[in-house]
Amino acid sequence: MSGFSSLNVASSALAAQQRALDIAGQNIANAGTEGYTRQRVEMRSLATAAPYASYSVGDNLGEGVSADTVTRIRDAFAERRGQLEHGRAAMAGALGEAYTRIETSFGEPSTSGVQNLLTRSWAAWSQLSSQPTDPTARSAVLAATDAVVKGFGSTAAALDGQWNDTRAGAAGLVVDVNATVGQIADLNRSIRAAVFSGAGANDLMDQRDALVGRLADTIGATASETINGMVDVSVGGTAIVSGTAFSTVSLGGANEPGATPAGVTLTVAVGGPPLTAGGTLGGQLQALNTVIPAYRTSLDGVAAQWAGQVNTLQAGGYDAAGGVGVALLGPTDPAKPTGAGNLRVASTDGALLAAASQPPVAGPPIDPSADGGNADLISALARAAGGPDTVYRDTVTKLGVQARSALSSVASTAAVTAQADAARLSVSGVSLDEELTNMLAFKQSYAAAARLVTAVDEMLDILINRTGLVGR
Amino acid sequence: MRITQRTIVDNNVRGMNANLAALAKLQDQITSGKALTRPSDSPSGTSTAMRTRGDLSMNDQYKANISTATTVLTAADGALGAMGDLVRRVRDLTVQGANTGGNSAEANEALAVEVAGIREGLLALANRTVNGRPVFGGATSGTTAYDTGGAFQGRTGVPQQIRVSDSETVRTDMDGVTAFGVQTGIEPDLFALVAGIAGDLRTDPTALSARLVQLDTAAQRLTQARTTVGVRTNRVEQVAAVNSTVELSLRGQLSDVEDIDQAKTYLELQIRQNTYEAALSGASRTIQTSLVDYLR
Repeated sequence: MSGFSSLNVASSALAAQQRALDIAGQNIANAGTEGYTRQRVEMRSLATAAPYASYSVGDNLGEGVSADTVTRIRDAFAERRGQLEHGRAAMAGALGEAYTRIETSFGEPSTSGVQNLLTRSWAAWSQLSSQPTDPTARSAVLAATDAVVKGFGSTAAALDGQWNDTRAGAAGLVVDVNATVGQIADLNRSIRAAVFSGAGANDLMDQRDALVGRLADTIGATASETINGMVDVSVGGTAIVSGTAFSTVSLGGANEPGATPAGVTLTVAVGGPPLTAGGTLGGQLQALNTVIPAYRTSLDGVAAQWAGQVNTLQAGGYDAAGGVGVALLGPTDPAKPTGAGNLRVASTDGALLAAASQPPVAGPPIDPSADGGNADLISALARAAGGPDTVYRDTVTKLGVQARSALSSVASTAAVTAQADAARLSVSGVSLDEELTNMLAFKQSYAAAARLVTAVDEMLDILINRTGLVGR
Repeated sequence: MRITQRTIVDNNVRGMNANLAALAKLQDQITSGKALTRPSDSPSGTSTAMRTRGDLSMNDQYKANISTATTVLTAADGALGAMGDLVRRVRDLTVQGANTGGNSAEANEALAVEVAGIREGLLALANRTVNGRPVFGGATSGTTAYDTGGAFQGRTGVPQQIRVSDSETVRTDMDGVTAFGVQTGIEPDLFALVAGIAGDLRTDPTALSARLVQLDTAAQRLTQARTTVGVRTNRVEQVAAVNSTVELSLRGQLSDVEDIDQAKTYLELQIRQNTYEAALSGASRTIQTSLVDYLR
């Protein structure tokens, strides 16, 4: 062992502490950076170059410290749990948003919802039953009926609008997902190259993991680490990034509400195998394929039932001229079934409302009955057990129950996600106190190493300048 | 668990957001006065609110129907009352005319003219209309119950029912046949009878005694009709009182479901405000301190 080796040891210590301080600086600088993973210099003591052997004469004291590895401190399990919970929370969020918007479309309970319009039409029929010969009572019924038709129409249009917006939103997300998977594959390539060449890839990995986190939110992706620092990303069990290769996802199927065949599909590439998405996209697909169509169908059912029941009763009565009542409501487009969006007031003449329950006295002149019995029967639909009001109220109550459970799952998944994030950050987050404490330690070590240099220097000085002076 | 500055910041932000969201919701409830604005606020409450709103609207309509029924019944009652008076006058004149011994032909002619005039009055009353509809016409779509000749134009046998509550209708029609009799071979209706009396006064005063019996039957019929109308009016008045009570109770029910409990909501707002302020002051303390403060 030469005297200079101590200097080498001291210099390696100086370099290592310097490096550690640099990394502490980097950590502090990024304490607030989203997706940053704290780093630590892995210090390792250096053994002597000479291997231990039978006739070895070295003293195996070690040759200082090495600080060439900088690792990211993260917990793969916590990261994966974070991705899963983020996917779930985003899915619940998308569904909650869909339900909230459906609630707004129905607009109950209020004075402007379909329920109130229906009630006003029943009241108008009751008014007509009390004054069957009054033309104003007849026009009031027509006006109230028209208002109900418009009410059904605007609710249906709002639901259709929501479907279209959600479809457009999902298409936008798919574009985003496809761009992101490409970037992840690119970063995987760069990381592999960096790992091969021995350069640090920590910041590239942070960048890539942030992108994976975004995919967890948008499509419910999860990542698993493979070799050379790369990750594979999969959605619902199907890999979409595999090392440096990736496949795009494609949105297909119906592109307007009520299209046949119904259903929006998400596939790997165009026409590839179907993908079970989570995250925002999964929630939006569920809204597009189940939630919105279900309420649209219920609304259509109520509208068709209303039109059917009113028309049936119309046919059982007699109008102001004594004729048998004609259909009051009909579809706008006869080729399609009557529904909330396909409904119109078919007769615009108040005299054609069949208010009377009795046939006219045969003439001449014909004397139409002026009893309001049939109008009263129609207004009684308001209270009928299977009447449109009851069915509509059931639909709104069901909406309330489902929206409530969707919103509560938004809150609960958000809480779980916050917990998962906290668990993740408790490993990978930067603690300023900790960094400051480390800085103190590194600074002291640096000072001590510097002192070592001085000590060795003095030692050598004694050897060089003060020896060989015996007897001088 | 390792707690970092970031964890503390995140927790603080989340807590403040949650408190602020709750404050906004309470604020919204207090300004609107409504606790129920979406079905998800309370699904069963929404159902109750929708049904109660519907019941309230229908109750309003029943109130209008009750008013229509009252108008029709009052008009019928008034007309029947006036006609009763006229019939009594006819009876007096008939008795006067039947007194054959003391009456000259001129005097009887004068009586006949008056009776004929009263018949016109009776016909006019029998044609009384409400909203253009003859009160005594039954279920006719025409505008008169009797033509100028005294022939019935209306329609019998079809009751006109007006709905006054969910469970009840009140009959408002009183057709001419029931009130004034029907013209058959021997038995005349009220108007034919009065016309007959006017004729007999001129030509055959001796026949007037028999007419008196018929007139009494007609008067009785009028009284019966008036009683029937009176009973119906009574029923409508009772239903009107019930209608007001029902309205009050429905409004109470709706308010119970939809409106906020003022005291409770204000208290909750105060509590939330305190929590929010506590969160803010907690945040200001925990975020500010770090080891830097103590290192030289």
